[in-house]
Amino acid sequence: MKSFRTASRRRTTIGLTGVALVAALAASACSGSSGGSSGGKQTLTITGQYSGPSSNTLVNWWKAAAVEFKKTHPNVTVKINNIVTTSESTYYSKLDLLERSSSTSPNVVYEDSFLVQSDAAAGYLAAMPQLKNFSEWKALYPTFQKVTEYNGTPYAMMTETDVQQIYFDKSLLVKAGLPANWKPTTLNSILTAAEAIKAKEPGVIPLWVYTGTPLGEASSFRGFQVLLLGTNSRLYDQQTGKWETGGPGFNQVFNFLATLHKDGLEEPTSDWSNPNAGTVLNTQLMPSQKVAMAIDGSWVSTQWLPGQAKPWSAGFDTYSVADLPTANGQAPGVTNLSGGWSLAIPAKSSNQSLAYQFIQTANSPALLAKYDAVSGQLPVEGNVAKNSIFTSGISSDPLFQEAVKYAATTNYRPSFGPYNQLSTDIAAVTGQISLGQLTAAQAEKTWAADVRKEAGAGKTEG
Amino acid sequence: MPSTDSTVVESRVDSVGPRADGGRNRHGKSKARRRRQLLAGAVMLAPFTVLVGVLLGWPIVWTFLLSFTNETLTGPTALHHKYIGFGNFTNLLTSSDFISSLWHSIEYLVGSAWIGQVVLGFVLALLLRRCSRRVQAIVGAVVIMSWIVPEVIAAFMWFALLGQGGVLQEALHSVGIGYSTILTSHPILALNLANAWRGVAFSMMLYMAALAAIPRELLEAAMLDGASAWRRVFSIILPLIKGSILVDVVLVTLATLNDFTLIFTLTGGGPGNASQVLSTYMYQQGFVNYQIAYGTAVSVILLLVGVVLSVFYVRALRRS
Repeated sequence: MKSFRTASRRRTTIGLTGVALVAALAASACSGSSGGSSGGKQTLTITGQYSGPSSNTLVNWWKAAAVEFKKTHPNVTVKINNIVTTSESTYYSKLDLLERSSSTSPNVVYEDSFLVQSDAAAGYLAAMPQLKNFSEWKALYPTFQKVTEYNGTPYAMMTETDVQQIYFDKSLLVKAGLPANWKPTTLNSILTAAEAIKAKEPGVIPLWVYTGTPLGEASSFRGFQVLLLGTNSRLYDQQTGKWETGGPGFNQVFNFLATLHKDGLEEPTSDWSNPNAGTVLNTQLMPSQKVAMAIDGSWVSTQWLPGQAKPWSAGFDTYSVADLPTANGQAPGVTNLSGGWSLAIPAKSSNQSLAYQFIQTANSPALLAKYDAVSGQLPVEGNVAKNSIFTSGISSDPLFQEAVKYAATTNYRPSFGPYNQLSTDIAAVTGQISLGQLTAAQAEKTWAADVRKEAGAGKTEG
Repeated sequence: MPSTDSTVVESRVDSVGPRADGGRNRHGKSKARRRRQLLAGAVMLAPFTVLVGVLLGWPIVWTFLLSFTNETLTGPTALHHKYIGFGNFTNLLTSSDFISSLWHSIEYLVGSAWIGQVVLGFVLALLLRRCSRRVQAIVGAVVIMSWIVPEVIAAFMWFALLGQGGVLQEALHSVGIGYSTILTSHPILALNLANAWRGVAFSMMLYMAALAAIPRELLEAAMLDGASAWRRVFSIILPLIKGSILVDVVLVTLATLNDFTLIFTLTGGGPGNASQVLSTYMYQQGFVNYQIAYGTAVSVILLLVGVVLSVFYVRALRRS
């Protein structure tokens, strides 16, 4: 009996130890809240993406904003808690996971504009109706007021954007018999130029177009959607509220991409399938004059400035930029599409009013002008674009200066509902075209099936 | 904590240790003793069981539950998701991307696990048996090195070897042979090579230990009776190391089916979907396409494939 009782007591001990251990683990899993206050002192956490030294511009902007913020909020310490990854999709999913719980949610987040509506629909972001009274929000170009709106209410404050252009190597085009001030007027005129380059310079990539899933959104955005906007077709019909399963514009763009593959006018698979394709293009292939034309964002040339990823001063003479033409040259003659980033407040942020005040500080024109200039981002409002800090900051980059004016008239993506899946589907279709697995006609069929599946019954047309 | 543990151990020894019983009622007493033993065992296992239950069991149950919902990582169904029955599974089974990923997983399993690790590991172990100790040590060390290298680094090494502008391309170009990277032309082959290279050490070591346990006399006797080398391998060695083969095949299969790092780092499942296997497809759906519930449905199928294969191995080897 005695031994049994001892064993039973010991058993209780073990049981209790087990319970204590589990409790301790649970407690440690639940601690680590990111924002908060103790003894009048407060901490405000802000989370963005850190993808290497080029992200220092972001960190420096927030540090400058924190210094400014300290003047009016002496008890607040701003803590920058970035997610370290070179992959944007990893950043998006990690950020979403952080925003799901109040124990991990930052106070302020740096959101890609194309995720704002879907994160608002998810309930991750706090509505910011007060933005409508904020002077800098009122000064935004209308596109950038709309892009972060969900159900008529803004959910984020846009800070920067980009536009799409064709970069072309003047000397390579001249060798192929094209003028140094080349101006494409239709999609076909781009194909004609590419054919001429291929015929005269076999070792050169005639036209770089992002394609396939490795760079997902980039392929969908700069490899397809901006071109589609140059036709009369749209991804989403604002009037009817339905997603398009196809149409003449889809047909024309898919044909353009299929011709690039069929005639060997685009970059080889080993280049586009590299997850670092963007960096390879901007900092290796373009500087070694291996690419005649490239459809890319407006920040490309800023990487060639002194102290940036690939200092290459000759680049500003070697390359020139042209506007992306509409498909058949129809009015307005130019097509464009913009993304960009914003500052938002998670719904589970522990101090939303403080977070809002910080966003206001960070968006003061002087701070934003400096950040936009050094990071190669386009201002989303006139106050910043005209600010002397910005204009003098970009004075040594003539290619980038060309792009500034387009921010006022650009378009944005229908980034709500099934957009994220549809965008991945577009990237996959472009990749399959580039692998020769789909013809233009098959690509149209695949797209139609994708749209019907993702958007659901009654939400599609065409 | 440590002191509690040690007293528990002592108490177990006290309470269940051998006793002088005197013979009568022996049966009843041994029964009681066995019960006490079982009880003590259960008590000792309790903390571990609870931990495994909470940290491993619950996530598995959670994954199963999630796979029957429409939860996404963003959008309206992120926090307000609902039960959709077998919807994810029927979508998967009709998705050509899923079917091709399943097929690639099988190719990867057969190529890099069965042939590249189990068979090659056995052959290496068999060949090494005939070598001198010194050769055994050198070859063993080299093979094991590939196993010690972290998977991500191994993937980068293979990328540097096979990739565009890589060592192989430069070397072949310098002698006038053209090479366009097999990472894009034959990505599954590249993955099979890399995974076999990395994993063969484990199988080899396992078989070396198993072969060392076979009495030499047995093989010598067979040789005197005129059995050929093939005959000795198939009629004596293989049946004797059946247990090791089972362990190896099960472990290597599960490791290969669940492998993610090497594939993700080396090809990212591409180009296109050309090397997309179930594990990378699951990641792609869950964290790139934000379809977290759909991704968990893939993981459930991955788990089922592993279970079915393991049961199949056990039965097949038992029957032989």
